[in-house]
Amino acid sequence: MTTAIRAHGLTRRFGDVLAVDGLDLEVPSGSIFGFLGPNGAGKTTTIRLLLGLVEPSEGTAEVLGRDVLSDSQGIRERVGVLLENDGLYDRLTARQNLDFFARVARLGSNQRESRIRALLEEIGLWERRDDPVADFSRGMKQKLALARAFINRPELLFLDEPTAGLDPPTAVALRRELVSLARERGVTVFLTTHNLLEAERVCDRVAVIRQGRLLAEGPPESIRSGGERSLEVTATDLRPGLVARLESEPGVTSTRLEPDGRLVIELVEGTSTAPLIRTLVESGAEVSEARITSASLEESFLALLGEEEQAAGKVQA
Amino acid sequence: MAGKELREIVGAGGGRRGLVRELLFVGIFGLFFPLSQAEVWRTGSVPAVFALMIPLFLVGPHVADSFAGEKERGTLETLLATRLPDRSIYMGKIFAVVGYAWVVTLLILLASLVALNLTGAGEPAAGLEAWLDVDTGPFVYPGFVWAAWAFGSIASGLLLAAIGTFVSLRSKTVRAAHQAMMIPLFILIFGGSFGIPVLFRMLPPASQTALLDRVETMSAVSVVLAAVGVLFLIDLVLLAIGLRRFRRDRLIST
Repeated sequence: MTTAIRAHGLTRRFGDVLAVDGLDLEVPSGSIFGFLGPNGAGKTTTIRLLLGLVEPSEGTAEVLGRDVLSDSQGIRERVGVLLENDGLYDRLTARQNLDFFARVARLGSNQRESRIRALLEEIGLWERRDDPVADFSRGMKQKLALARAFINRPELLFLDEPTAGLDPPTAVALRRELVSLARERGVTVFLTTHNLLEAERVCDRVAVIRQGRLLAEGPPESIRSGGERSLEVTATDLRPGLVARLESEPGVTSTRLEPDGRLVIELVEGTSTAPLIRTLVESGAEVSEARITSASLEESFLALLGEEEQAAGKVQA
Repeated sequence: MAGKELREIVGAGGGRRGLVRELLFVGIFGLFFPLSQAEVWRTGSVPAVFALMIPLFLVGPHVADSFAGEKERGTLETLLATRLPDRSIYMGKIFAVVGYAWVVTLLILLASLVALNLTGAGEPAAGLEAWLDVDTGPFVYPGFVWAAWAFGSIASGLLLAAIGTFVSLRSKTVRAAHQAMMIPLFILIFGGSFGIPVLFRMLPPASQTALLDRVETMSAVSVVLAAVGVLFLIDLVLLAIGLRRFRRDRLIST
C-alpha cells in the first residue's frame, strides 16, 4: 500500500504562536482520512502546509511523493481543494468559474466543455450555469465549489468541511461519492469535519489534533475503543444493595440508575458482560433488555480533548 | 488568469451595469471634453496627454481590488492552491487591468475622433461636409497621439498597476486599498503635471537650454517615445521588485 501523505515532525510557528507542533502523519493512498479537532486546532494550517502554501518551520512532508518545500507546484497540479471559503468568484457565472479552474488545470477545449457540463448536471446546476454565483444560495455555492475541486480529476482531495451548508440528501450523496471515489478510483480524501458522525461513517482512519499536536490517530473504531463501554440494563425488581454489589465486580467503573429505570453499568474496555447479567438474574432482577453500548466517536473525541486539557492543566500547575 | 480578471473587471457591478460604467467613461472623455475644447483637441496635445492619464483613472480602482478584493471575498487562498505559478498570478492580474485600460483609452480616442468629425467642432468646415471633402479627408490625430496611446497608455497603466499591487497586497480590505491608492494616483497625476516643470526649472540654465534644443530637433513622435521609454524602464524595475516580493507564503501568513 502506497502513502499519499507522509509528514514527519511537521511544525509551523507564526511569531510566538505554535500552529502545528511536530505532527507525524501517514495517510494511505485511496483512503478517506478524517482530520478532527476543535476550532484553532491547526487543521487549516496543516492543509496549507501540505499544499505548500506555507513553509514548515521544522519537519518534512511529502504529498503524492513530492516534497512540500521543493515541489509544491507539482503537488497542487494533482490535488483538488475545498478550503474554508468556497473560493468562488461571485461576479462570474457558474460556468465561468468552472471554466477558469479547468483552464488552470490545462484541460483541452472539448474536454473542458464536457467536464463542466457533466459536473454541473451532477450537482443540479446546469440550468443555472449562466447565472452569476452571487445569486446562488450557500448550499448551491458549496456544491459548485465541490465540483470545482473535482474538475481536474485529482488523485488527492483536501476537503475542509465539505458538507457544511448542504441539505441532507446532498450531504448523503456526497459521502457516497467520496466513498466511491476512494474505493473505485483510488482517490485519497483528506477530510476535516466537525461532524463526527460523518467522520465515523466515511473515514477509514481519523486523526485528532489539538493546539497543533496529534492526540490520536487510527481507524475510528480504535479511537472509539479508547473510551469506555457500558452495559445498559432494563430490569425490574432491582433489590437494594445490588447496585453497590455490581460496583465491586471486576471491570466495573461505575453504575447509575437513570430516571427512566434503566441501570447503566460503565465498564473497562474488554470486560465480559455475562457475569454481570448472571449476578443480576441471580439477585432476582427481571431483566427484559441488556444492551452493550460503545462510546461514539464524538464521546471519544470529547474525552480525548478533556484528557488533554487536564494534562495541560497539570503541567501548568 | 488574465482572461478571468478581465471577465471580473467588465462584469463588476453585474453585466450591463459594468458596461454602463465604461460607456460613461467614453462619454465624458471621448465626447464631452473633445466637443467642449475642440480646437485644443485638434492640435493633438490634449488627446496625447489624455492617452497617458486616462489609464491611471481606469487602472487605479481595479488594481486596488486585485489582491485586497480576493482576500476580502475569500477567493485568494483557493487561487493560490492551484497549479498557477506566482509569476502567472501576479502578471495575469497586471496585464488584465492594463489591457482593459488600453482598450478603453482607444475607444475614447476613437469616440473623440468621430465626435470631432461629425460635428465639425473646432473646424471651419462643418459636420458631414468635412467627411465628404475628398481633398482634406476626415480629421485624424497626428502620429504622436497614436504613439502616446499605443505605448504611453501601457507604460502609465503599468506604472500605476505595479504600484497598486504593492498597495493591494498589503491591504486587508478593498476599501483600505482604494483609500491607500489615492496617494500614488495623486502623486502620478499632479507629479506629472507640476513636478516635471519644477524639476526642469531646477536644472542649471545651460542644461535647460541643451535639453530644449535637443527636444526641438526631435519629432513629436520621438519625444513621446523617449518619454515612454523612461516610463517603461521605471515599470520594469517596479515589476521586477513586485515579482520578487510576490510569494504565496507571505500572502497566507499575513
